[in-house]
Order: sequence, then C-alpha cells, then structure tokens
Amino acid sequence: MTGDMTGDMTGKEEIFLQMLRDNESRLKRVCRIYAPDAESRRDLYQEILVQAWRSLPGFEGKSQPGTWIYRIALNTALTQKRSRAARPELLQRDPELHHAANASQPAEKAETDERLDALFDAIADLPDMDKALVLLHLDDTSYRDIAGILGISESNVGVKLHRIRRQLTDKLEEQAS
Amino acid sequence: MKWDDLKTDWQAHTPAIDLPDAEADIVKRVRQHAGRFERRIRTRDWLETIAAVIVAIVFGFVFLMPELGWLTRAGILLVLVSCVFIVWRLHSVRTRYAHEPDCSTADLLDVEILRLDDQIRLLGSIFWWYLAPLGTGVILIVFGKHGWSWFSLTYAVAVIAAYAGIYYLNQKAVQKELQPRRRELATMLESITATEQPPGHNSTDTQ
Repeated sequence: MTGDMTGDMTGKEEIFLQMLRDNESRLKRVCRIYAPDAESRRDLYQEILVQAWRSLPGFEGKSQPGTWIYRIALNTALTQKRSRAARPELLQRDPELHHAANASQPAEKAETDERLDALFDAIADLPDMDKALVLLHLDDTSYRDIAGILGISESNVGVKLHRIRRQLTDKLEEQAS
Repeated sequence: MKWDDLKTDWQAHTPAIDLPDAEADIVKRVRQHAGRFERRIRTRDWLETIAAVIVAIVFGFVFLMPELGWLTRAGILLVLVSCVFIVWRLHSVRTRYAHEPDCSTADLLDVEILRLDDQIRLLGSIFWWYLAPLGTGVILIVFGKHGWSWFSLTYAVAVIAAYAGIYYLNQKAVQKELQPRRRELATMLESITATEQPPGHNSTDTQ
C-alpha cells in the first residue's frame, strides 16, 4: 500500500478498506479493551473508522499504515467521551471467540479461550496508558514504534513493559492457582 | 506462563463486534458518520455567526434611530461589541488547540489538557466576558427607553436571575465535567511520560 492520496474517491475507499482488512483484528482488540460492552465497542469501532476516514487525506506514508491506524485507534479510545467508560467489573466476556486456530481440538480451544479471557480481564484492570502499552506489545509492535505512537522514549517503553508484564504474569498465575 | 504463547493466541483472536459485514456498507456508514460530524460543526459555526449578524443588524438599525437617548445608545454599543467578542472568543478557543488524530498519544494528551484548561478558564470567567457586558448592555437599553420604572426594574431582575442561572450551570459543568476530565487526562499523561526506574541494573528487557 502506498501513501498516495491523490486518487479519486474510489482510490481512497480502496486504501481505506485495505487498511481495515489488514488491521481489523487489532482495531477490534483495542475496542475490546477500552469499551465495556457490545454497544460501546461497536460505537468505539465506528468512531475509530470515522476518525481514520477523516484523517486519511493527511496520511503521507511516513509510517506504516498499521502504525498510523493504531495511533488513531488508541487516541480515539483514550479521548472519546467516557459516558460509558470502561469499568473493569462491567467488562463482559466475549460470547464468541473467533480464533484463527479453529481447527484445534475443542478442549484445547476452550483452554485457549479461558486463557485469553483471563488475559483480557487482567488487562482491563490496568490503567489506560498501561493498557495501550501492553496492547501494542502483544501485537508485536517494536519498541521503536511503540515509542513513536505513544510519544515516549524507547528505554521508557522497555522499563514500563517489564513492570506491566510482571504485574500481568502475577495476576494470571494467581488466577490459575 | 509463556508470553510467546499468549502473544500467538492474542494475535489469532478477533473480538466479535456486531457490524455490517459488507465492505460497501462499512464505507457507506463511515461516510455518513463523517458527513454528519462535519455538518454538525458547520451548522454550529453558522448558527453562531448568523445569530451575531442578526443581533448586529437589529441593534445597529435601532442605534441609528435619531430619538434614542445616550443610555440606550451606550447599551446598544455594549451589546454589539459583546456579540463580536463572544463569537471571536468561542471560535478562537475551538481552533487554537486543533491536532492531528494521528499525532503521538503524549502530544494528544498535552493538547487536550491545554484545551481543557482554556475551556475551564473560559467558563470560569464567563461573568466578565459574556454575562456582564451583555447583561449590562441589555439593562442599559431598557433603562434608557423606559427610565426608572417598575418595568425596568422587573426586567433587570429577570435578566440578572437568568444570567445567575447561566453562571451557575457553567460553573457546575466546570466542576462536574471539565475538571474531572482534566484530572483523568493529566493522570494518563503523567503515567505515560513518567520515567520509571528499571528493576535493578541487570534489566535486559528487550524484545
């Protein structure tokens, strides 16, 4: 994908849809973490899409499209009106987990689902900015890109992630035992 | 617990969000929302400008009437100047802190906090830049036209009561909405920009 936004509206639509196809799962995970229920998640997802659509003409291709849309998603999630702010105790479990590994055995799948639910719940208890850090980390975003997206130094990313990972590990192990 | 396994599971997971499946529907919906958002902003700006223009035309016309006393003229002038100032003040606060949606989170939070500070100042001082000049202007007009009468006094009391209500609502909004939101954003900014100490000197937490 290129950052050329000089095309007509069909070109813009195509670029937009390609970005969505490439980043759909990541965007939905952002919504899952920052919005407490199905309705809020849908609203947040739509708001992210609207912000991305409106910002698309300004995308110059200096960063990867995935990084660019991740910035928009996080900024939208962090600054949107909190009338239905994410309250960890109200976070609902996904009624249906859509895994790519659908071919796995049911027992294994149930175990994975349980592990993921526990992870989502543990992340939901973190402060908003820690959520952003761990989301980016779990999506394999490099420290450099995380630093660029959040506007902090790479070394700070490393130290913070070390702490957050330890917190999450403790919590998950506590739940498992 | 292995982080690599968690990462793999995490990346394979797509949370369910109820949306139209067809891509064409998504684009259509996004366009509608974006269009509605921009129309709302345009309408708001236009309404403010149109209201100010109507006030300017009506009061400007009245100002030109030859039989008016100096008190009424002073009131009209005050209302006209207030209207221009109010529209300019609102517009400048809205446009001063514009940011790109894809800026870094720390920059975004910085700008949002500055914008909220300005809004808090704006509403905190609403008496001086909105209520006092406009209210004084309106009261002067009535007193200039009707003199010291029961009508003028009742009118002045009604204006003062209405403006006191507006003042109260604005201060309530500052306390209930703007200040808590500002604290929330400041906490976020502090938590992301604060430099944490690594756990000992042997930390080799790299990706």
